[in-house]
Amino acid sequence: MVRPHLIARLNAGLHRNLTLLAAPAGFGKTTLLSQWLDGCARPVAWLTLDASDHEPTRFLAYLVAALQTVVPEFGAGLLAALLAPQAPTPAAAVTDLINALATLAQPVVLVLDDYHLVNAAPVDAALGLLLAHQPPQLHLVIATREDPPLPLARLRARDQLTELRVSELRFSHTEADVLLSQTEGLSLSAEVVAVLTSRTEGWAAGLHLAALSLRGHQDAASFVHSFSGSQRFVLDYLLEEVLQQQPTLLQQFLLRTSVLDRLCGPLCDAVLAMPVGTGQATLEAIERANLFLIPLDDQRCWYRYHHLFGELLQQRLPQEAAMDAGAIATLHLRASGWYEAQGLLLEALHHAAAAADPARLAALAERTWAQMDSSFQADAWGRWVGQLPEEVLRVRPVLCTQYAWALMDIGQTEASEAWLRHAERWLPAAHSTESASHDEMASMVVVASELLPSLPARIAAARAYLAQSRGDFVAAQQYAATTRELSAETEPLLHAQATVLAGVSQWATGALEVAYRAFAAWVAQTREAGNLAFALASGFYLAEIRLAQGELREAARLYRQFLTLVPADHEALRMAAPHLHLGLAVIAHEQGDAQAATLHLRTSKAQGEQAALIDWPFRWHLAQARIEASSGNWEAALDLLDAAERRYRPNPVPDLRPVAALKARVYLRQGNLLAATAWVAACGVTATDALSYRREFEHLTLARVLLAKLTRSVIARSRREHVASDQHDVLDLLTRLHAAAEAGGRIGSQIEALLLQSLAHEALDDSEQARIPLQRALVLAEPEGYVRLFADEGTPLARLLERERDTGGGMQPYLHSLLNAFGKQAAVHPSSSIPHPLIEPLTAREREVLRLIAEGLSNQELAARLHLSPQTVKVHTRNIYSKLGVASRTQAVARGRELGFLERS
Amino acid sequence: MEQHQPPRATRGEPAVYQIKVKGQLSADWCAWFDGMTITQDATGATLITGLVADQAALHGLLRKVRDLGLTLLALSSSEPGELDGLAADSGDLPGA
Repeated sequence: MVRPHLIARLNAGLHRNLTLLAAPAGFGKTTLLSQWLDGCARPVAWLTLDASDHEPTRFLAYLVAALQTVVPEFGAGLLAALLAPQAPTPAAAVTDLINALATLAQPVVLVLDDYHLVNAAPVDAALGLLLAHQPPQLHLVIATREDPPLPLARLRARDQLTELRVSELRFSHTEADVLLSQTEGLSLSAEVVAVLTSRTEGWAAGLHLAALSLRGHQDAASFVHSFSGSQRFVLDYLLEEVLQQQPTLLQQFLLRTSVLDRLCGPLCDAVLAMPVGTGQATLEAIERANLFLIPLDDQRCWYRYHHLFGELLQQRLPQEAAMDAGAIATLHLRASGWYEAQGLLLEALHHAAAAADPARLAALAERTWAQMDSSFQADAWGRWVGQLPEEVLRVRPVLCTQYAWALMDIGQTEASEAWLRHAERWLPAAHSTESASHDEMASMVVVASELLPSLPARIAAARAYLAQSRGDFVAAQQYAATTRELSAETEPLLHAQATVLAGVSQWATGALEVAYRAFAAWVAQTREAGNLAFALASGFYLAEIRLAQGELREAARLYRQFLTLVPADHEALRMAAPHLHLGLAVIAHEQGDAQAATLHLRTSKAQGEQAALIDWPFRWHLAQARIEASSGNWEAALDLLDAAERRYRPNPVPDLRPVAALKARVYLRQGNLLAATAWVAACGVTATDALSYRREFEHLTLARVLLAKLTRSVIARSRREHVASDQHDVLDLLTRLHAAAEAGGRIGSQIEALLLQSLAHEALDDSEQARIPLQRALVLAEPEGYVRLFADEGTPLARLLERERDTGGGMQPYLHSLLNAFGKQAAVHPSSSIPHPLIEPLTAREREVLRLIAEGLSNQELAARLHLSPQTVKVHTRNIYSKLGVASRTQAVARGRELGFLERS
Repeated sequence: MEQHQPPRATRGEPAVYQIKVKGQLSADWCAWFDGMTITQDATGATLITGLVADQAALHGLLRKVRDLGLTLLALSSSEPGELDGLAADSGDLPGA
């Protein structure tokens, strides 16, 4: 039945942020919401939560998926990121979600039903964040049995909240009358309706059950009399009445199937050991009888009982069906077996656990690990295994090792290590320090016996990963070597995985050539084995290592080579392409080719927003920050670096250019020496540190801070001895950095150290001394075509290069092209890097004005040439800027070229 | 009663709790509430009484009360051994 006054209140609340329906079970919250939203003009996304939604990324993934049911293209990239094995942090994901919502053309309603089942602070926090920055396009509706821990008082005070609670949801006498007579088709006296309303206190579930009972009673008056005379709990009383009116077989069916969260015909057949087809027919009969059975799909395939009804049935199961715990466990075991046969492993694990049969749960978990892991369900798998009693888990070496891998994936390194030790006890003494005794060996349990021989290698591989993640590269290399030894003949994939892990740890220690060879071998091996996914993911790192060595051209060649390997028709493998384009964009930018950089960035963004590898968003923001910084847009660069930092996911690949150091460099270029000095203190680097490759970038950044201080004190002509000590510090550090980079074969770092040396000498008025490192830098940089490394240093270096050009030394063409780059800003802008046509096209006159701007005419000259007033020209230029989405003449020209309004220069 | 140390319930140790709900529940509900004792008081309310391991277990019980739509009237706790006095009047016990 429709409740117009409640629907009116709900409609009136649509302009507020949140609608909250808070009332106990069975008060008709869901029914009311469906009726309201069926007649609501706005599109409605509906998400019914359950207890497994306590993990914020999963919750957010479901939320985005629900929104996609009404706006199909909504947040596709975000959903992919949330479903990836290493999802973004909830805060980053919520920020992206808010941004995506803010772009919606029309408002949507999002319903979170049964929110009380979530019961997890991280999800509450994510939702709170969304509410705090809620775009007007979203109206949120929460139906729950308990008030959610959100700032309700604040929302109330700001009139941003509509609440319907028990007092509103209770059926009044009049409403109960309508319900019983019209909906349930009963003709009852006003007195009887009054008694039922009072006895059920307007509780929808109670009234509905009462109506069901009345229908089966010859003598309504006597039922009402005894019901109202009883003090028993309303539902307890009524359910008994209703059940007793059903045929015995149906009673048994209802009671036994109440152990199932979801029901379908074949599952019921299996659980009750009934002839095929009985289940489906019975479910349809129950639905017709209106016995609280809710279809979950249009095909009448899956159903569930109304939660309250299901609970009441379950409570009665032991008495009414005369079932002891063992008999109930049998029902769960049958359900578990059925789900396993269907490949629905999570449900199979759930019922194995409910059967309180740890052995069955353990065996099932051991069999299903590989499948769950490869479908990104290791986390849920681990939660079920974590419920096993320790003594059951401990005697199963294969399961112990699998559990250790699952814990490792979620970052629980200590627990992971402990389970590896448990697993090890069962291995032959050669692989174990503390083996189980002969007697104990009899108690070992192995279900997936085919996995037992490879266990030592798997344990060592896990240890290599754990060591690498905590930064212990020496141990990581040792364990990787052990893995390779143990898996050489038998487990080619594990062997290759260990090789690449060893390579990663070499990378972090600076042995770049060794790391390169390890990756190259792995790529060759995986390509040979036909595993293109692994080959592509690692091909990217081959280029990264060349980049770290400063070999721009070779890195670009590798990116391009792997790009040709990406199959256009393979969805998962295409995820590698945005990475490769991003790499090419960064190199093109470094080489001063703004057009190629723009092209690759556009492609990377267009593809990456569809689907990309896990760290693409992080890298994309870093690349954009670099380009903004080259254009002198410091604030934009800092914002992008912050955005990148929020998207960083820890992984075994070393983070050699920490975002904090990148920000310090922007501060320096901004002239904010104070912020840069604060970074030095926070980072803890000093000029006298022993140098290591891992911290090379930070030490180079420190050298820049010291150089900036030195320059400033020279200008201020402060105390000479002070300058002398600073001078010694910075020159000594740079000499050592250059030597280390040279020894490690890293051209880019060498050039940077040399340029800084040159600038330091120049700052100290030693022009002759400044030329020496500059010339060395030029010789190193020219073959690779470095440009931005020079150009980003700005005027001081430009002066040095001009002097070098004017002295007429070698490399004149290179010097000329470098000096050209100083004048230009990098003509790539994140805001304009998305290929989209203008929302409002330029008029013919505006295009003419833009062409003249590109010729370099001032506003005055423009006005004269076009016979317009200067004021009119200003209006035209302002319109051009706004249509092109730019802020300056230079940007307008660059954007005009991109869009083809102007000849390319 | 003088309290020289906080009641067990606040020290994270097992304690006896009594949950009073509206309406009569039969003793059949005992298993549903994890073996707690189910009795009726003179007013027609039900008392669900028993040893509860800790706060998490208590919240689990309260969730069961919530999910059945039972109306919660009172909640009280006491030291084990004071169980006898509980059924008579649950409202004035220490720690309540």
